[in-house]
Amino acid sequence: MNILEYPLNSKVILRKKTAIKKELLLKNGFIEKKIAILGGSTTSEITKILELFLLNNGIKPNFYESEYNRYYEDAIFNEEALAKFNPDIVYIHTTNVNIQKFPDISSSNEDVEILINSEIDKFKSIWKAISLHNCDIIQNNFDLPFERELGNLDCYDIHGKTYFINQLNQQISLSARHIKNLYINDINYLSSYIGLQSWFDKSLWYQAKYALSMNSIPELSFNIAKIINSIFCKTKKCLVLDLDNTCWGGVISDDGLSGISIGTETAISESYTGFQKYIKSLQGRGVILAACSKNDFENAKEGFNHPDTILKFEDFSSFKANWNEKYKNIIEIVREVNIGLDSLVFIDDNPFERELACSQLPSLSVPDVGNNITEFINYIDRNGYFEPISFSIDDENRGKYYKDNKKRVDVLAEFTSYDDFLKSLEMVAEIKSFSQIYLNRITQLINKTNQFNLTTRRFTFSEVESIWGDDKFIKIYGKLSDKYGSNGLVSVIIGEVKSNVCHINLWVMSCRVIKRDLEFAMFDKLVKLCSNNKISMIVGKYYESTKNNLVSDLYKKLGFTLRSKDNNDSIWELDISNYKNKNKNNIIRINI
Amino acid sequence: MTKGDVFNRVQDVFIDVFDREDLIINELINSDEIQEWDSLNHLVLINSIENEFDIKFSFEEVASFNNVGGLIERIMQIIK
Repeated sequence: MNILEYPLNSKVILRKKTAIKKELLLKNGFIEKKIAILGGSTTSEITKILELFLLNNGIKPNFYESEYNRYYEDAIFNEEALAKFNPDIVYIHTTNVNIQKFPDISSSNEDVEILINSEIDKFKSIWKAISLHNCDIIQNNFDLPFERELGNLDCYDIHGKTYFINQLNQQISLSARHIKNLYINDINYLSSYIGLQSWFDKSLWYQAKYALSMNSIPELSFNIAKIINSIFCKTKKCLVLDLDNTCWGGVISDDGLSGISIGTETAISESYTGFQKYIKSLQGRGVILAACSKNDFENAKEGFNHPDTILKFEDFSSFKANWNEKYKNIIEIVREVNIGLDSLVFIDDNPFERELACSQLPSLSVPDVGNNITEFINYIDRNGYFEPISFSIDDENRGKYYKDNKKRVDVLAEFTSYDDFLKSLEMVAEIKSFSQIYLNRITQLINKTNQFNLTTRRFTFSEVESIWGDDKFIKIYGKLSDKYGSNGLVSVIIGEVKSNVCHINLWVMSCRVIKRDLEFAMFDKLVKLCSNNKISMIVGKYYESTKNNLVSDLYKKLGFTLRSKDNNDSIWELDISNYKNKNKNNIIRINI
Repeated sequence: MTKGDVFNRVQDVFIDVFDREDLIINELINSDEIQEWDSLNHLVLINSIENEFDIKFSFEEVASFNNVGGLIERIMQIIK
């Protein structure tokens, strides 16, 4: 819904929230999530507005709210209530009003250290207690103080509040780097983005104990929603860019290579360079790029030969420059990079093209960027389309994978049989039980995969971590490389063992390795582990979703027999001694 | 701005905040007569009125408004 996107009109959102909510609830296909909000100040309106942003992203929240300023007590002493609620996420809304004790003017260096540690230890004990509930934690860092008794000195004298808060924030950042299920809601940035003057409203604080102004609440809730989206892998993956007047100023087919604006010669060309630099850094951290332009292909490609261009033709995983309607090209892009249409964001300076793409492809994100290039970045950045919650090496490599995939597709054309092609890839897989270093990537894969996903069960990091440490689960991951490069960790199976039967609760495989026979190699390994553990039977379930038709007959292919069927959900079983398709994988070499 | 104009704009704010298209206010209406008008929503209502007229009430005032008539009278004074 447009009203819930950048630029936010906070006043309208606050005023019309009830009507907005009604409209959002007309949609269907929500995933339900339980979110506990522990506040160090009043949270009522924050919760209501957060609900709007989550609904807008397909998440239907069920909230638990602590009593006013009971965040510490609720986390530490009220375990039972939280355990009963069983949250997926706990959000701790604390701000500088919750700091117990600032240094006073007589404090020594050592006293200040002690005060910092005691604040941080309090939060550490909260996080530790909450982690027992196997959930993710979103924690505010601190906003800067409204007043500075020491003026500018406040930021560097050890007695300053500004100095103190900066130290606390640094400690919180360090903690979040080490605690895997802890995410920071950066209100230090947000309040400075909004401006402290508008961020804090003394009168509202005295009246109702809100630690921020009413008009700042939508921005705060929007920011929390971006993190929650990212935790549940609802972020976008691919940025589709128009070229003329988007990647450079001017029209390449009219103005020629020397006529387009890019570089540092003029204000206009600098602004396009700024845009390209931003895009390049997104691409560098794993956002897939695609070009979609009404242009002659060679002309369009030529634009990226400009001596000052930052983006190169090779940075695009898919490049569509022709005279077809853009929405048709976008469908082609989806097919080529093999991701869902709802994972794409389309940027075009032309309102007609935006309108058309939007109306033809309702699940595509098409921000109304206007035609002022200096605003484009804001629409991408502020909307949090590509908000990462963690940065894994795999993200960095993903762009490379899509480029490698281009080579793979090119080679395929030269082979007569698909098996021959697969053999020529010289694939090597590593299939092993979970190890701690991969838990992040495993969680990411579980939550992102839609097509090759038998049960569409989602797990948080904490849940994956507890499965990793629990002997009643057989849990394996698969990494696949071939002569063109590594595909990374791309498949996961989690089986739960109950009285000599292994129930496959979850089986996912990234769409980047579909049709590479990795599923056979994974299953061979599972059967082997089962027989080592004296397990005689494997039970698999297929729960139909809107996206996983691809694997509806997987168990049949593997030799399972159908045990029961309810609508389109089915349960299959396999007696291991009857595993006739044994060694079905004879193409991938397994590296042990 | 006439009192009528102010009244109409306040009426619109009430309709939005309480999401009741049929809501018709009069000067005597108070928080007892609108079910959704509780202390938390009172702050949202006041905030929306402040935004509508680009004004800011003092917090003693916010606590003292208990009917529409008093609210409109105060708005008239501020924007005069």
